[in-house]
Amino acid sequence: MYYPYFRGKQFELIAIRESANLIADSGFVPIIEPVRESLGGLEKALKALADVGAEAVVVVNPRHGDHRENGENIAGLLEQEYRGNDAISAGILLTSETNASRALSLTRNFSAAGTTLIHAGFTESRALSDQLASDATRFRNIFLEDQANRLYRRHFVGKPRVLVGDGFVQMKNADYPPVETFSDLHITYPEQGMDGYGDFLTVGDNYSEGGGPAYAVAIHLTFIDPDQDDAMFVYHFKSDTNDTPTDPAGKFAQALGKLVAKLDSGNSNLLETSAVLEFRDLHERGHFPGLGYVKKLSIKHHLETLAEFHSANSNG
Amino acid sequence: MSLDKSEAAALSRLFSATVLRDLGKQARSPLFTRLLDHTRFATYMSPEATVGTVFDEAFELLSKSRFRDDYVYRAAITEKILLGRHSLNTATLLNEVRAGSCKADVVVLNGTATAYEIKSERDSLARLRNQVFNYRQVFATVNVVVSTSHLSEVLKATPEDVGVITLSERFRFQTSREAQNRPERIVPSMVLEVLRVDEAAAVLTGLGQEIPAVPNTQIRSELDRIFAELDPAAVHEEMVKILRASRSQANLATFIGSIPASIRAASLAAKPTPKSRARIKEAVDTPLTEALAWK
Repeated sequence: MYYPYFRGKQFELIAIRESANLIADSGFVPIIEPVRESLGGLEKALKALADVGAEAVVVVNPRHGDHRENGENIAGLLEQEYRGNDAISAGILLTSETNASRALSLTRNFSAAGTTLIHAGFTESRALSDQLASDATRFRNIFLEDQANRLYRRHFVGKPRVLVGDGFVQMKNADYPPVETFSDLHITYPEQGMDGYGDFLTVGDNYSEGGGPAYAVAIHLTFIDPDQDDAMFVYHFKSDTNDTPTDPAGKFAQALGKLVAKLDSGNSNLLETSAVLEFRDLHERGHFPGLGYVKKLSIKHHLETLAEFHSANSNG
Repeated sequence: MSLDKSEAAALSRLFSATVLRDLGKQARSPLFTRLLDHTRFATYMSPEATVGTVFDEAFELLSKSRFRDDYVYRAAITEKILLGRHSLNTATLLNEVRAGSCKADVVVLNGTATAYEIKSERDSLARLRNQVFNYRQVFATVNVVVSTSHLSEVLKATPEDVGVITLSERFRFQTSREAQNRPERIVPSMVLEVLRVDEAAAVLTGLGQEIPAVPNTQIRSELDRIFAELDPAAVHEEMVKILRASRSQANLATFIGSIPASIRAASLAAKPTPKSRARIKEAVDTPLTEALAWK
């Protein structure tokens, strides 16, 4: 099934919290890589998920953000709050900077059944899988599509196997085309021998801290096109006056105007999700809720769109 | 020791935002140590040296070398003008303030707003005319702080009301032309671009004007319309008053007084939280021998 990969920035964690029921009902499994020093937002998100019986994977050795050097606080949180709960489990990130012995010691420290290996550029697949031997089947395997090739994936057959692709091509806001392809993994993952798939939502795999003032404001909304074999696409609604970093609120209004016009055209293929309803309301009130809030709505829309797609498929 | 070019570049980066951010976050900075490794600097330091004395010595060397950079000038403005003539209780310093299509290197707000454009020996003067043209529309007083090598050209290239100051080799300011304070020539809609919406609203209130009751997506264009009608000098005076309070650095006064002079400008720019301030203090008191293992 679906494994959305979140960097635990504040708006992403709030999106998870507010979508907890949807995530539980759809059987989605969020993967969360905490990037902020304070773990308060993460705790709230995990509690919201645990309360409704949803699963989640928490990366105990993040490669980005404040816990990059040391993930002990995250491991401590999991140990203290969720030791008895297999639904909230540890994920071990295996990157190009992880060597085989470090990888092995991580798998020993986090040996509970249901621990997830996240293959993200690790190079010693053969050595690790040999060392793990029969233990290998206890781990769930998540492969980042562009960082773990097919030959690599062969070494890790423990189930389930999940392929995470980054559908979101990140660029300067002003450079986005009006619409582009996002991903077809939600349809094609079984053909690739996988039991599930994932993405980096409408945020992308590229990690950046905060960042400066935006010259352009863009709203990213995904949709599934039934006329194109149910492949997923993304609209980028952009502001028009992008020469100075001033007036993000006015620029948001410009982008939002385009979004509402597209919705009202009747052929947008956009699902009327709770997030879209909020966008309509913001448009009516002429209100700008802040860029983080807009990102949150974009993420919620994406989750709801995939939830609807899978529920329609399983019913019909 | 006298610096070569690559050593000067390394020492100059010691005062970068990255190093200060590291120190504020972790009370240590691997970049600091790597940069020192690029120089022969550590071997010249006494065994009792701390990170703080390294900063001060490095600054001293840089400011006397052929490779004085932007930071040396920034630090001079902070030390001699902000903290020397004024204090953090009466004045506020802003870095990189937008003015039209340019950014003023340093702006000091006390009774008026004074922009400082730095032209160190490494800088070209190609953009100076356009920069000064823009700054004069936002700030009542404009100064160019230059190395002596640029002096005569800058005097020629700038209008009479723009001040020209040199920083001597002995790290002293000399005023070659006094700046005039001319708030009446600013353009209110350009001042508006410096302000956040709440600050612009406070300026309006200060001038006895109504704050427009429109949704927040329309507030900027509405403010633009209103500011265009206002009296320039009155807007400037109110802008100074509001910004000095809303961007005040008075809460950093004790901290700034407690750290080595050489990193005051960098520390002010980093806007450290109370926790970060404590970590920066801890870091500058760290013995050099210990800091050399920060990699």
